[in-house]
Amino acid sequence: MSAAWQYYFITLLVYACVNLIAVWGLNLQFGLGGILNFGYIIFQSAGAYVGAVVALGPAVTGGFQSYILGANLPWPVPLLAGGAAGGLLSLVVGVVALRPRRIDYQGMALLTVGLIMTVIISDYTGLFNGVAGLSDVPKPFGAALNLGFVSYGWFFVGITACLTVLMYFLVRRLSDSPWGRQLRALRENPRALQGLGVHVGSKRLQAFVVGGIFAGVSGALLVEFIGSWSPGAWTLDETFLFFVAVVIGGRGNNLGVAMGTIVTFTVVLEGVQYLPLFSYTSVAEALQIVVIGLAFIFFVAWKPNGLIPERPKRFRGREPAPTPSFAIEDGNPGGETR
Amino acid sequence: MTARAPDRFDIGRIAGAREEVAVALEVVDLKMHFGGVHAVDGASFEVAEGVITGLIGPNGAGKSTVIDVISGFLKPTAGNVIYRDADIAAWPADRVAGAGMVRTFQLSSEFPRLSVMENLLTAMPALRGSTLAGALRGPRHWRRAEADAVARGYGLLERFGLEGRADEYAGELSGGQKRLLEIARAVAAGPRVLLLDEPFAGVNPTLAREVESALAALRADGLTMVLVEHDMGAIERLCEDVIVMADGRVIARGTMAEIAANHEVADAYLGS
Amino acid sequence: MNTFTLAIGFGLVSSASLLLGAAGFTIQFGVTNIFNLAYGAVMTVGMFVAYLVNVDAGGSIWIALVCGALAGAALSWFLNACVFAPLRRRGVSQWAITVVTFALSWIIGGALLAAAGTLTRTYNQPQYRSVHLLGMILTTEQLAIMGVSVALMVGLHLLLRYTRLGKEMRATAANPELARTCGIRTSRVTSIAWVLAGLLCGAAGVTEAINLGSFDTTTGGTLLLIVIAAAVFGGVGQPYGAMLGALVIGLSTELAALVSPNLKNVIAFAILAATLLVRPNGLIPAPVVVAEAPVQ
Repeated sequence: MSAAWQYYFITLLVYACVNLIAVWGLNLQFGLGGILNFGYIIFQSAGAYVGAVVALGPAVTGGFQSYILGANLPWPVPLLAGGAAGGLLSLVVGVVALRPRRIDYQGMALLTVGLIMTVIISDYTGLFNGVAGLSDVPKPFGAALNLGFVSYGWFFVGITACLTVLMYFLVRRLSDSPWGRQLRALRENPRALQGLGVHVGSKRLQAFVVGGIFAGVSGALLVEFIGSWSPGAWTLDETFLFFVAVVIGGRGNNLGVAMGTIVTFTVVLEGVQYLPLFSYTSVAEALQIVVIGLAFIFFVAWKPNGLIPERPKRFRGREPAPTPSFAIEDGNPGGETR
Repeated sequence: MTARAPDRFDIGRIAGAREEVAVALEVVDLKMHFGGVHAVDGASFEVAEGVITGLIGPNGAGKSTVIDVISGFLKPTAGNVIYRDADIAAWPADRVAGAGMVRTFQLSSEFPRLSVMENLLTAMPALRGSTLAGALRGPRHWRRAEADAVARGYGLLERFGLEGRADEYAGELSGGQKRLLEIARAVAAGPRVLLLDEPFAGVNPTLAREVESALAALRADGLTMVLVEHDMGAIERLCEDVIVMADGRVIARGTMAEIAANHEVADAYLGS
Repeated sequence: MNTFTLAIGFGLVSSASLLLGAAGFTIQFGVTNIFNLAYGAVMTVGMFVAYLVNVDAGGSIWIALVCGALAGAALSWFLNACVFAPLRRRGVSQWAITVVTFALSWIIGGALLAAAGTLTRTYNQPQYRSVHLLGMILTTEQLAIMGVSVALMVGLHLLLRYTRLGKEMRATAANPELARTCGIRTSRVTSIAWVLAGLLCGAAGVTEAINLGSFDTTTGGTLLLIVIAAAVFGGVGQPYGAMLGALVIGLSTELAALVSPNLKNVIAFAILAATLLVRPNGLIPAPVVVAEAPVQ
């Protein structure tokens, strides 16, 4: 296979993995937790920017780009820093922006926060080099390994794939736990959950932060592959595509949204390049948007639970405990507070 | 009365003295004003332990508002709610429920896309793995406790006649079954006091019988309950003690027979 | 006359078109309870239809304005008839409707992009005379636009307060079920609310495009946020609040631009975020309290 084809597949695979991690994060927030995070992309961006300035060396005064930090630390520190950045930003934003009780207001508030961030980063060039963005971000182990272009690419695919598997196990562990179940209850009826003694605000914030960490990790990973990042890379459009993946795939179901991601990003977005019908690529791209949007509305209206719907946990029937009198459940089997 | 497990929240009981009729809950001069609307305007009453106390009154009397205030979903404009030797009037809903006072809602509030069993599990207090830290520790940390909880859950479902539906989506149950589920879920939370907000509304007669017997069984076990209802038959059969509210105040109290003979009550309902 | 009074002048002009947009948004939200993120796309469509009439067909800018408004009304009606009313009937949850409005703005934007390309466009207008007024410099066209805005607002006020339709709209906004039981045909009222909102929306888009000088397929999207800021700040669902909000946002954005041109949009976003988070019912709360609705 020619180098160009190999590199095409390498790119496809890396993007697929990065998108999977990002979508699992959104699934935690939206699919499980019911948070309409219309600003999701900024948390991925936070991970990308912080990952970049941790990996980059100090900014050269008078050089072509200016930015903060520049710690020049080796992998996996930029990755961890990116994840932490996503989580930290989620914490700060979440404390403020998750307050509205109406879900559309919440979405609007998060969208607005995202826009404000975009403007701040674009205008204060000292932060992350403004509109031009950062570039020349060093690749993990790039210098040390001294591999050829394509071979390094496969190496990167390797580490990305391992990371993706790791994140999958993490998200499954969280979703399948009682904590995950409470999130789903939170999504359905926060008031009822409150009436059962659960502090709804903190659960929601927890989901928001963990989702933010996933977003940050995906961003840090992507920036080290592409080598650059600018405000143009993170717009509302990206967030919308993540939502499409979650809804079409099956919100609440991690495998479902994974499938949704593959379908949306890989098949649809890449697939359109192979259609010979359109002479102007910009028209093709624009129509692609229309098609995706229509498919999305179709799913929302007719199959809101997606291709692979979330399914409640099935418990193997057991001998029921001897009919309890309504004795007060002195249940503190674990002794944890809620 | 059944023996009680030791208090988790030791707020300091009055040492020694045990009254003839223990009071589970006391409401003192409660007021809830929404701007110019005085939904509750100086309501006072006590709820005795171990019995079902009815709370009735014409529409707009303030009954549901009182429940909202007691359970912590509303903060009263004035007044006290004494529960377990503490004034919980200002407590938020989750804290009140954590202290053992659980309520059901007028509109069905099951978690529709969770299974019936999962609905119960969300209510079980302090299940391992419910915190983020617990969840991160992995299934081995909480698997056993969850299995025990599931067993308790099956027991509860049996009592409420829902055992065949444990794995169904709660949203697909009939109206009456949803009510039963909600009550079962509230019981799963291990309450000391259960506040029921019109559990019979919109339930067909057959299932209403089941709800009634479930409540009677709970009373037999010694659970304190407050029952807000319009269904006078159910109130008569279940409640030894009935409180009547109108215009945000308590206007009468007694057994159903006494209430029925009370002219003020009749007036309130007819709206003189 | 100084930069300050000049800024006030620009602010008033800005407020005039914001006023139309915010009033439309708020009426539609009040009656349908839908936070319509596709509103911006409808504004852009209005802008482009006006362009067709003005530049391609050679009509005057005022005819183009009317056509743009009518296009907005038609599109709005269409969206309700083909998307929102059916979805509502199916009992789709609130998150789903919000996300659909998001999708619609995308679809309409994409269709516009495919049809019109990425070029920025300008209207064909004669040079208008400038007027010096109280330290502000305004062209007669801008004064005319302000006049049109005020006239439309007065018309709206009369409609809502004195006509039967207005009463029905207010009743449906306050309590749809009750309105229905009183015999009000809420589906018809809703349809009319969408048309009215679309009309104002289209007009807002065209007037704003005139103010800005040039526009492209993304202009409506940015404008949408500012319109929403004005509507929410004043009190969503309350038309008089929209007027107040438009004034506040219009003036503050222009005054902020004095400090730094970048601050212009940021201040609108900041006001929007602050309102949503601190006082979601806005400055003049509508009689209907913003109710919580669970996700499903």
